[in-house]
Amino acid sequence: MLVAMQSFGSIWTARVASAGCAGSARRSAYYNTSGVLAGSKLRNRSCIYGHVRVDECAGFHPQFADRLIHRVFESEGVTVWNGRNKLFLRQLTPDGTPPDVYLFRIRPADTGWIDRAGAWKCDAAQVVSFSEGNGQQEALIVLPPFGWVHGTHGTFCAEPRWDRTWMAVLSRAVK
Amino acid sequence: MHRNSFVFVALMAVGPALIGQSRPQDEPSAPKSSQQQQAPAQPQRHRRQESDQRVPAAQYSPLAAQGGYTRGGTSPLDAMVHAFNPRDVNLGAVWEERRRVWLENAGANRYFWYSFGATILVILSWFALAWVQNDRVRERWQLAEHAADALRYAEYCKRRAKEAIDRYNLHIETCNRVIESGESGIATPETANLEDYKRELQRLKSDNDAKELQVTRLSEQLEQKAAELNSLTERVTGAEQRLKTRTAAGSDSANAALVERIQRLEAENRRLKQGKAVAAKTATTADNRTGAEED
Repeated sequence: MLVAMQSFGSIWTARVASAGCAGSARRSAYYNTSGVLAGSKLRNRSCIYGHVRVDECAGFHPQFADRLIHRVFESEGVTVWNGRNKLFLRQLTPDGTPPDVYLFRIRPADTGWIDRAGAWKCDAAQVVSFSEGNGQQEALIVLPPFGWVHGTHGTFCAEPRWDRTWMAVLSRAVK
Repeated sequence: MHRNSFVFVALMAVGPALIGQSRPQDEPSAPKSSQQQQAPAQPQRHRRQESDQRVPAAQYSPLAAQGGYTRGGTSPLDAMVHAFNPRDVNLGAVWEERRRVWLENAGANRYFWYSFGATILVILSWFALAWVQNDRVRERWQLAEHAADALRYAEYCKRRAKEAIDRYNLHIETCNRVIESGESGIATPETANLEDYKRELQRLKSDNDAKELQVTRLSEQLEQKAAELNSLTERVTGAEQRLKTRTAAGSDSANAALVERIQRLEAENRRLKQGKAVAAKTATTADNRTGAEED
């Protein structure tokens, strides 16, 4: 599965390679997940816990994370590991590769408040992480082209650009 | 046989009383018993008389006088009997005498028969009491089993009644919640079906919106591509037309020269082919002539 990264979650954690490892056999791994502000700190407050993992060997560097926006990664899709959702971005694909799905970070500023008890996403969507608390929400969700998310602001679809398929935006489906 | 057993049972039943009664009666017969006790001395006298009768042998032989080698003719059986009964008491005679005395006393004594009957009645009453007790115990066990069955059945009935009451209460609660939700509009677990329908409706609506958006975008792309195709077609058509007009206007002389050159080259090519064919024919005829001359 090819995943096009559109935005990252708020919380980053790193597993730094131990110094005892010889050479580059063990590289750092970075984990991204959703979070909400509690006071002045970002907290998980996870309703659905999961993370996106990207390794240093995939070309990721924490200081230049924005460079990976709108890039397409090879991945196995969202899997469940130890009761947690995991999306492992294995490696980058060449530029111009059309993706299969898009990874979005969704906040109430985008779609409005999401009522998780109702039908708030399409069946093909896969939630990586969902944080809620202190009147805030943040979700990392994998949407196929024209997959939708429903909030109080309406239904929003992942609309890819037809000339640049690795880029997609959340467009409101106005009837 | 039957009579003896009857007497034996009676003797065992009234044994203690009979012993108490027989003591005074034994006293008059004491002389008899003394006679019985003196009975073992009789065989010795009889043996002495026999030895006296055998006087002739004893007169000249001390061994014979002592009884000879047989020592009085004592057999092993006699020795064993003598070991058990050293005084040689005639037990059969004693038993017969006692039995006769007892029969004489018991048969003639009404009080014995009264006591015997009373004893029999007492024994029979014991059996009757045992039978009654056994019957009571059996009835008590049956009563306990019936009571246990009744208790189990009562428990089963209570459980079923409780289940039915619970079902009824649950149904009434559901009805109440439905009525309350109908009045207040607040969703409850009992009205989850309605919420499910609403959620499904919302999902279908969002799906429909997304599909419409997708169709709209695809239509726009299609229109854009169609427009591009039309413009491209127009451009190609225009280019063809321009090419035709250029060809018609300014390139007639060049085409005529090219046609003339092509015709000239074709004629030259045809001539060269004909020359090759003539040379080949002459060569073959010359070869045939030389072969005939050699022949």
